[in-house]
Amino acid sequence: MNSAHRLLALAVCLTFSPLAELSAQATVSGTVSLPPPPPTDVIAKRYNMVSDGSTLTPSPPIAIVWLEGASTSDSATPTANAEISQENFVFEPALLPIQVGTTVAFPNHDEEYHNVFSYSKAKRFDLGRYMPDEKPVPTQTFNKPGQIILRCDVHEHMKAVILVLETPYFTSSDTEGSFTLADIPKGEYTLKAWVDTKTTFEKAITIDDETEISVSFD
Amino acid sequence: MTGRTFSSIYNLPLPSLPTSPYSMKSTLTLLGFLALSQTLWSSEAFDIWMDNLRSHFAKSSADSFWRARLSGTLDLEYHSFEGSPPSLIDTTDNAHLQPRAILFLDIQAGKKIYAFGQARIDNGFDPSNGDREFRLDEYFIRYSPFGDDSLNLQAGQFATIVGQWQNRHLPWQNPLISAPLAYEQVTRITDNSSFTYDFPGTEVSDKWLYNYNPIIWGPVYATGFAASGKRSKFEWAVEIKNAALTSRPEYWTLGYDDFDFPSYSARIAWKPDLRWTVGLSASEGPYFGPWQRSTLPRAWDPSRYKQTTFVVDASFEWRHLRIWSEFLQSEFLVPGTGYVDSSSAFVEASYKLDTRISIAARLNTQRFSSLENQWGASVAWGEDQNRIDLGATLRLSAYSQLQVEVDLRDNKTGLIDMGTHFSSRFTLRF
Repeated sequence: MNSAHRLLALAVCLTFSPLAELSAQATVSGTVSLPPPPPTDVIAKRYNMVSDGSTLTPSPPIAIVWLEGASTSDSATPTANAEISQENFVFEPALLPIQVGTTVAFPNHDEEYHNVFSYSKAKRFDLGRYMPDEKPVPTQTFNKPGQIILRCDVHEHMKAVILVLETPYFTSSDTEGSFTLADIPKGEYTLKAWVDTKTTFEKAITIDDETEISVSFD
Repeated sequence: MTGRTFSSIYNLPLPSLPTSPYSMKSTLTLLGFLALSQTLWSSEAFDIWMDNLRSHFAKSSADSFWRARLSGTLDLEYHSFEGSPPSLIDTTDNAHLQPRAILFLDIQAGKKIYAFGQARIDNGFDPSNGDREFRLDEYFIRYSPFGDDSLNLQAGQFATIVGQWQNRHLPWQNPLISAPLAYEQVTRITDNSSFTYDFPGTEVSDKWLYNYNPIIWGPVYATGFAASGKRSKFEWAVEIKNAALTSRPEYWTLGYDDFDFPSYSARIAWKPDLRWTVGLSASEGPYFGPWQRSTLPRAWDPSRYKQTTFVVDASFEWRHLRIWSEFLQSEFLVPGTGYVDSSSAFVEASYKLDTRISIAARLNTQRFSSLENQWGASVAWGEDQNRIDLGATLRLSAYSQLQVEVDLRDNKTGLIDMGTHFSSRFTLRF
């Protein structure tokens, strides 16, 4: 085989090998129009003989952006677990995207009881009242995709959302609404942006030879 | 060996199904509750819609120093019973329907100031009134000078610091529909009419239930001042109010006594951890109402006629189980009779069976001391009673629930026609 043939063979291998796919991976970035921050709520302390004067510092709104498509649903199972804590009478984080199969821990870092529960169809549970230093920390594994609204049965102002996604390609925006999804293989996808429990934007995108794609949701 | 059933130990009647003439009303009401339940059952869209609605009821300043939240509950409460109506329900029928709307306003200013108001639209504290009325039941301002829980100062019209039941007396928080016996069952004590000199022989008439008083009148939203605080594992609270624990709601507001005959209360609680609370409360104050004082002979000092109460409470809460218990001892000085006392106790538990269903039970008892009547016989000044309350709560959604309860009532003397009391309540909160 002469050198010209060797070069041709190498080019063919690169074109059809996984390495070639990797080299074609793209980055999707853009912005999502975010809603204004909600008003800061009040902790109802009506009948506590002794009540702490703590104030709430809720997280500002952000969006969750993810890709749905034929090549995303059969992706590998998640490798990392996640956590939503109850701290200073708010859930932290208040919005958590996870992949199907992820286990989430719910530690209580306050000196008062919380009672985390969900009535969402994708996952119904009620953890009961756990003490701050109690081990093991209560956990739940989320095996169905969907939007799960977390609430506290003791403090009615507390609310959080877990988005259970069938894709490893997801990210959180910053507080300005900017996001970046990297290492996306070629293919046709639906790009979705969750803004609140009532609003999810979506756009069809195709990733071929382009390596930088910009999308905005207004 | 002959076994004793739970019912025979407490000498309780077995529950029976409602019979005519109120079976039709009961059936229609239950069907209505079921229709509401079916509509709201598992409705995620309803919860999200309510979340959105609630977001319009909260306001805060740009720096979050000022924060306010308007919230409330809408209740539809239904009672059917055999024999005499329970607690203060006034009806000649064997069924009673009570709609109720409660509005709450919570305001926070920085870390140090918290204010609260509660207003209701319902048939009123006096059920014989029959008309809908709008009332401001509670309002107070709380100042925490150090911005933490070490010291709180409070002024206004608010629930008593005595005992623990006031923490769960509202419809959404109460695992049962009823209140414990000591908080709702009338005795022969009255703060609203002249005492007869044959006090021990006085019978509580169904027709005049509202003239008589329970040991503690529900949450006792009387007017006054309180201080409370926390140090290590101990909590304490003291209050001065314009009405005694037994006093009727008309005397809780400003304008009747204005602290001419104040009541003093104190409570200390030990909380070794979040699960356990053990508390001791005491309260003392004159209990005569303004009109009743005017019926006393001039030489009699109304401030002598006091109610003195001691309460020991204990609770345990962990995971899905919650248990509360209280023992109350209350003494009254009655004109022309002397000191009479009553003791009452209850143990209450609730348990979440699963995400949506919880069950609850409460064992109540109330005992009355004996007196010598005008013929020299020793008689109790009230009817000793036992009551078992059994209930269940079904959470239809995060904002609505349906409760049912059966109370099995009994007294020792049979003077009052007791029996089974069935109640149900639909609550929508917002």
